[in-house]
Amino acid sequence: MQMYLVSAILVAAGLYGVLLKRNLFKVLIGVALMALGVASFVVTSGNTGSGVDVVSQTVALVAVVGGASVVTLMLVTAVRLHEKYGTLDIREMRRLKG
Amino acid sequence: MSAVLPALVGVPLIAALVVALASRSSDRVSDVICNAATLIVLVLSIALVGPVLGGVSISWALGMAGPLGISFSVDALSLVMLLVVSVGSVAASVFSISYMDDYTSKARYYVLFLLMVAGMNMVVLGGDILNMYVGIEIAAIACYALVAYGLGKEYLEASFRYQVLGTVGTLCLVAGIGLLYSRAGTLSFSELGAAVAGVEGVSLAGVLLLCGLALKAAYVPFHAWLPDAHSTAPSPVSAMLSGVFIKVVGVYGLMRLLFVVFTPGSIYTTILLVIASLSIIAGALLALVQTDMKRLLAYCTISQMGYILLGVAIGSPLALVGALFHLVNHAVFKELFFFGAGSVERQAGTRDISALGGLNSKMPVTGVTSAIGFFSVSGCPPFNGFWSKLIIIVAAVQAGQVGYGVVAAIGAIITVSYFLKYEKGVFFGALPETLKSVKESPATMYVPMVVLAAACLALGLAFPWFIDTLLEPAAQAIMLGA
Amino acid sequence: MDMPVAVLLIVTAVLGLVALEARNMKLVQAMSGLAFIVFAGAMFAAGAVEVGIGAIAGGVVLYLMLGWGVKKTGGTDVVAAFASGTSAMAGIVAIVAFLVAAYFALDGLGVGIASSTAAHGGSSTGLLREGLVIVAAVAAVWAMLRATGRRGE
Repeated sequence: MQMYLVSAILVAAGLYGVLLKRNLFKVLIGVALMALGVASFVVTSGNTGSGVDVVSQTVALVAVVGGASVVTLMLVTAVRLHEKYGTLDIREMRRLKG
Repeated sequence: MSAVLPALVGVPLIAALVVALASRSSDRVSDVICNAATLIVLVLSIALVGPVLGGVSISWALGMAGPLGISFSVDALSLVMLLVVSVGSVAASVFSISYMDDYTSKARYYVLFLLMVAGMNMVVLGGDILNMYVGIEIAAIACYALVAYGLGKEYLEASFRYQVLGTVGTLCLVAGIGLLYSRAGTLSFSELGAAVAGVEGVSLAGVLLLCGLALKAAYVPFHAWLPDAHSTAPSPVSAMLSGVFIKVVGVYGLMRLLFVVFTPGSIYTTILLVIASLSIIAGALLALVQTDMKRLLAYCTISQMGYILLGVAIGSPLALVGALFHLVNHAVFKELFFFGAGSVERQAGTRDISALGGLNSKMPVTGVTSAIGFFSVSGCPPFNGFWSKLIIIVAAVQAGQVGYGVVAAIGAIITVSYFLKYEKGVFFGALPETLKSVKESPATMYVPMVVLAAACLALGLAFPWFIDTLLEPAAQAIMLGA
Repeated sequence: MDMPVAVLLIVTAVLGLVALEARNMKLVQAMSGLAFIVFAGAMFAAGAVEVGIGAIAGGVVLYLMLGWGVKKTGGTDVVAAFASGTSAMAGIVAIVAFLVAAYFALDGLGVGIASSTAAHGGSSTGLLREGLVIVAAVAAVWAMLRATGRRGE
């Protein structure tokens, strides 16, 4: 159970970045941390006592690779947003209401 | 025959590669390649109809068995989704020929478009949750960039928010998949039903999967990203997103897992019913106050997706047929509407309903086809929307969920009102001075609209045949998970 | 298996928080890359070699991309250190609620798998699949890096 909680802490650290940080780069780092948290959650769930189940590893790898891929895209988006707005501050960009 | 399955993913992928390599040559080259590829996918999908409905089981695998390798299979449900994807992508691809002339580097657009199609086909062909998930990932990444394609301030913002929320949804899904596997020992759709019976920990996995899929499908309260993303994206992208994408990556997953993890009658059903109702009503009410054509359409999508989910959540055979029918119908008329909005925006220079008016005289084809869309979405016979909404309401009442039937009916009334405002504001009434020189859009833009409008009528008239041949087997496929 | 892995994961979280709080963007870049490497270490210690390798690759890419990003946007985080106002309160509440919910949800959840396939090496088709995801990301970045979006801008 503790191992699951450690994963949850890692996810929470990422959530902190996503919810409370105003710098776009930090938001995406938060997302990356969440991806790591989910990956460790999946690895924990796949523990067989002598290593980790192959499928669980594959799923966890998907989380890491997918997460890193999208975070890279977010970085590029953030850089272009900086070009348009002159800032990385998410509050300056509240044009859209949602 | 089984080689058709990898071709459905391989053809768009190879086409994307070719377009990328040929990106320095003229736009026409990439126009041709993309449209050829989507046509081939359509032809292949149609070729599957006979065998699949005839009961032939078709599958294909590469590498190791199960989730470690790539495994595709097709049943009636996958078939319906394939047809929706392929028809939708041919229409959007044709529409893009003229529409995307306003944007730079069409080749890069088509590469992303084809990757999205490949990803979506992978989703609906995937024989287990992991293969389905990787397809979702590929298509989603392509979409994030497609939403931002104009590279303007609003598009980038909308895309960034979509990326964050989309990834949170993705991570929920992965966590759910990992946990589900750890409990059930399998991820294959055919084996999951038996494997999860009575196992503890599955409910947490279910909640995670539900949250992830609801985020992807933009159900209330997970809908925050959709209005911005769908309204700022280029119109063919909006059409694909609203019409095809959110169904493939959102509702389809829910359907596959419906009798497996989310068993009808359980707490999940209640949650799904509530989410569906919230989406129907909130989406409709928020659409009422919009003045931007595409934002109105985006909120309409949220609302109509609620209808589909309502049918899924009720879970009776009739309700499932209604949900599937509405899924198809909405794909058809939503693409039609976004094409119309895109036409208007391109020809008249604005999407603001209050600044438009009287365009029927200047853009007759767009006007008539949008009007047909209006009759469809409002549930007016003999068009398709009438039947799918009616079936869902009847199924709700029959299943004893009268309250939800009432919700659906109220939603329908609000839908009529905001679309009346849309039609009146854009196509009827007085033509402003500034719009006197507006002309109809080019043929590559209005031909898809005409075809889709015709489909609305055809589906409405031929619905018994359509339901019996295609939708009933698909509903059966969903229930087989039980 | 538990203790070293748990410790390394906590270190990852700490490095991540440092990265989130730091104002010097180069430090942010370094801490983020390091967090991924430490996480990879945790994965190796847990016996998930595939994931560990993926994390190293991901960390390298993230480090390099952040380097590029920092160069383009300036070396200091000029945005205020602490968010304030109602949305910040809501954010803190959400994080606490998440941790509480996670505690109750994970309580009693059995760790690990009852029956499993042998833990042998990963499959090449699996890598092919991941490769497609990366291809999509590369295509997306390629599209986003072009000079202008619409003609005539």
